Amino acid sequence: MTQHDIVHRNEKQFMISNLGNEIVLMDIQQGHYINVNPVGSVIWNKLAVPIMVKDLIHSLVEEYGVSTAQCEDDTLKFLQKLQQHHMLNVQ
Amino acid sequence: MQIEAISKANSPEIACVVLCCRIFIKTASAEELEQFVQAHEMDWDEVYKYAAFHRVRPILYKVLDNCKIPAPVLGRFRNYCRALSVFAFERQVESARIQQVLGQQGIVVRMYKGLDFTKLVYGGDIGMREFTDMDMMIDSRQLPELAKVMTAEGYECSQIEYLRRFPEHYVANKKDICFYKRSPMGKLFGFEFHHRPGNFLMDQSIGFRELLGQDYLHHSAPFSQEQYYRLMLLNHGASDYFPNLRSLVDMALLSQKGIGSVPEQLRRVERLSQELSMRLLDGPAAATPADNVVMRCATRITKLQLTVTLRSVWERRYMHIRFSASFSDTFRMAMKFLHYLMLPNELDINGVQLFSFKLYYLAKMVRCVNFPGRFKKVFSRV
Repeated sequence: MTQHDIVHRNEKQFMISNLGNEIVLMDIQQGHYINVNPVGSVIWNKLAVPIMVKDLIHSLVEEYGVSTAQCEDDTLKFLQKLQQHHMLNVQ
Repeated sequence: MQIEAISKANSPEIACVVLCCRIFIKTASAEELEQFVQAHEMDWDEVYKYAAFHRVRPILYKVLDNCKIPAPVLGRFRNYCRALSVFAFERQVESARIQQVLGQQGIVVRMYKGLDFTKLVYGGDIGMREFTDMDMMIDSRQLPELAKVMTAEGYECSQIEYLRRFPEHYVANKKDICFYKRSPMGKLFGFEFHHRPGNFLMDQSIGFRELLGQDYLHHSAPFSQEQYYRLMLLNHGASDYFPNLRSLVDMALLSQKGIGSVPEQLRRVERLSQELSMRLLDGPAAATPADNVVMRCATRITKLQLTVTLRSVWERRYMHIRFSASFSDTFRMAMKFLHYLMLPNELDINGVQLFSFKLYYLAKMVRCVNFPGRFKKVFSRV
């Protein structure tokens, strides 16, 4: 995945419940449960519409006041996890 | 009612639960809660207990999540809500599977209340509203076939013998049939299949058709807020007399959308709902005055809700008599209640083999006067 990819959450095969600032998802086909922590939930909500990875990182850096390098590293790792669980469409 | 007045007359804990519900339906602000929590010493275990009683734990979690409360308390709410979400997911999957299995056998059912209602009214989030059973609507003519399929799917039902032997009496006396099974995770799946919305003691002139339209079972479009408003007035109000704050929050969320007229038979219940919503949830005042019986009923329910008093099955049934509109209605309801008391049920039919339904009236009398063990031997010989 590169910073120029456009990403969009894939919620078709999931049931979703918002628990305060966390999210619980169930993969309907696999029967797995996924708990997304508060920061992950913020990213998940931003992925409701297609967004370029670099724009996503930029908005998180602005929101949380963290270093770009740190944010880039953490965000890419999180997006890769979403992709592993079929929770992400990448264009 | 002012939150401070509720707090003084009852406890700050129940006032806190009421205030959270008000914030959820936007008749109070989060700042009010902050101030209230700072001004009172709160027993959070009690708050949790009252929220559980009123079945509003997800609402409290949502509201309290942004409030400065002890972390272990919030954690307790969070854990419950996580478990509820997971269980709601499982039930959603099982409901879809059962609907598919029944559909393959030509049995038409339609999910309502529970998950379906939560999705429509609580912003699509099935973990936002506490519920237990999955409710489905069905045509009474398909009940025998339904029983066969559900039994084959591993579900248990204590009413099957009653339905098999006396189907006409069953349909006349019972509004639903219930099936239960343990999920692979050890939780209990419960399905209630309703062939009519009202129980034996209620006005039977209003059924699913009157509430939802002629093709309520076959229509592919989801139920509208207006349809649910009528349905929930009957379910929460006419049937259960608004047993908890969740029932009032449901009605408040529905009425906020601007609902049209309701059938004549539900007008008094609607007025009761408005009165309770005004007193407990600070909802808008009703446009029309309520009769004395409705006001007395509202006072009684308000007291039960604020004192967190569990209504017994008998009290719930007695309310149908107590809050009838007129003397003649009270008399008619009392007669119906007497009939209900004598009416045999699955316990009688499962307990002893008799050839006529009428004989079970006698069997029920024997069972009911069976003070500890007196007639035990008689029954064990039969």
